[in-house]
Amino acid sequence: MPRFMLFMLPGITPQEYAEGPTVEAVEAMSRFNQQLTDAGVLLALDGLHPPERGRRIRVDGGEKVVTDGPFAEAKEVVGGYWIIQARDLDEATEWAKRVPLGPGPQVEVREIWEMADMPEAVQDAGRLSKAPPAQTTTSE
Amino acid sequence: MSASDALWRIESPKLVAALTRMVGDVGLAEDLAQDALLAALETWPRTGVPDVPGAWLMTAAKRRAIDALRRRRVGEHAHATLVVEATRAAPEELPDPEDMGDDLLRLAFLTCHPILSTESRIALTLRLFGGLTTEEIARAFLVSVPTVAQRISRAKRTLTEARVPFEIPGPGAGRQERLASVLEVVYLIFNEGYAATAGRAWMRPALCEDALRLARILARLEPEEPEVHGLAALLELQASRTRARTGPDGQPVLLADQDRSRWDRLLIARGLEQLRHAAALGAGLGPYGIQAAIAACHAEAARAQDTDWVRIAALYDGLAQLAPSPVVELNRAVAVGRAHGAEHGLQVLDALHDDPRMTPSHLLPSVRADLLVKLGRTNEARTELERAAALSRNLPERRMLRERAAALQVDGRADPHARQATGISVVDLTPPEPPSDAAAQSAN
Repeated sequence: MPRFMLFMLPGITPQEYAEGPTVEAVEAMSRFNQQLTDAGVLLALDGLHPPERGRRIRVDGGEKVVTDGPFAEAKEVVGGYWIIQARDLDEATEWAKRVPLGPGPQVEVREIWEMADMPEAVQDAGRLSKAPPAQTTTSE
Repeated sequence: MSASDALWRIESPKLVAALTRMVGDVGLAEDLAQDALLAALETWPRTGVPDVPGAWLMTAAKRRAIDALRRRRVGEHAHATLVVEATRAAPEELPDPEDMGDDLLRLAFLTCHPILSTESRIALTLRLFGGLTTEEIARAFLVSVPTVAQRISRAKRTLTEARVPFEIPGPGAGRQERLASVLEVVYLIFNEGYAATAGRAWMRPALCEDALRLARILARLEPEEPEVHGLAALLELQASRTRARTGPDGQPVLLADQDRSRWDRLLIARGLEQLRHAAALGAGLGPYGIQAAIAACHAEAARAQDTDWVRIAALYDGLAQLAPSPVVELNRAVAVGRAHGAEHGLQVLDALHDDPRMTPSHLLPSVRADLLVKLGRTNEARTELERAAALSRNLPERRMLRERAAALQVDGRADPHARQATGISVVDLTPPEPPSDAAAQSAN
């Protein structure tokens, strides 16, 4: 089942990001989210805190090094995402074109990689873990 | 899919729904919607894509509707209403979303009208309510494009000739039966994709996707109907197993043998949420809701051996009372066998043996084989598996049944590898028939 992630790259200054979106911007975005929901294609969505509140971990000289954000050019910062179901990249793009955007921000469309798209050896490696994550399997 | 197909899929259901209300003819409405789309594809490259493409298309379509009605010289009054309608919407403004939702729901009731044959309902629903192209529908059902085109145009003509009203049926107009027909169509579309009835493919996931989309749309349009949420829950939960249901060569993998880490957690969570919603309405679960609850039992078992079969057997008891059918009894036999012992399961099954409603199918012998293996009656089990293989119409499934028969050793002991495969659950192989079918069968 093809699924796509739409990334929102707001392309705003750290200060604008920290101030948060305006009521009007949120209203416009909610209308778009509503369209996705009404069409039965929205699977999940979230907005992210600014990168100033994020951290990156890498290995340097055999040590894990933790760096506080920000990390990237403001225009490359991911502000949020949607996961949608679409038949193919064209349909996902058609949805992405409906994200309310002013000048500046961008939306990036990426297909979610399914195990079935991988070479067999990779699929086998993926099968090593048979038990699903516990938090999603607890009964109410 | 081309960009214009994508645009059609996203926008056409709303257009066709609004236009059908205006012109009173779903066939004309579809033509007008197509004209509007063509106009958009001509205009937008020059002028740029409007901010709200749906509103642009709606305005263009309504203008065409007025022209069409002028040509048809409709009465002055109807015409005046339409002009007011069409001019009321400013170019970049969508009609009230709630009106639009009602029109969409009317469209679903129309394309699933009982006056149409089941296959026509399915084709028309996918075309108009689902926004699929005729080619996509033909590919999904392995039939030719002209066949689907003819099926769709005949269905539209039938609806027009019978003057089927464009309405949301009230309690007096057989609301529950009409709703059952809508849900059944979505359910059948899903099943056609999930357990392909004939041919080489075990699954056609695109159909499952479309059915899921339609079920979610309906759950928003009919939020107070428990069975709508029950169906949405059932489909989300069944679809969550898609990735684990086929092996590397496309062969089916039984529920008990599936790699559960490949189940889709996102869809499971969505299915459980829909199920909670259905239960929270307080009217009790209907047949779809109960099937969803059964699917939830599987979804919540981290390993096959953790499955709560006692609960599943109890749920099947409930389902057998609400929507009795031989397929439900078969599934109940599996569940009772797992919960209370194979001999009890066999008792449920043997009561079915002389049931005249039990059409020849691989299911009865294959379930019987499982229970017999558990009781150590291997020779009988092998005979049943061979019988099942002969009855199956699906090639990968037939191969799997033959392999299981061959794996049972002649000396009366079950091959340890084969024992693993005996955790067969018909729940996953073939979901029980929809309630309305069951009702029709018991009436026979």
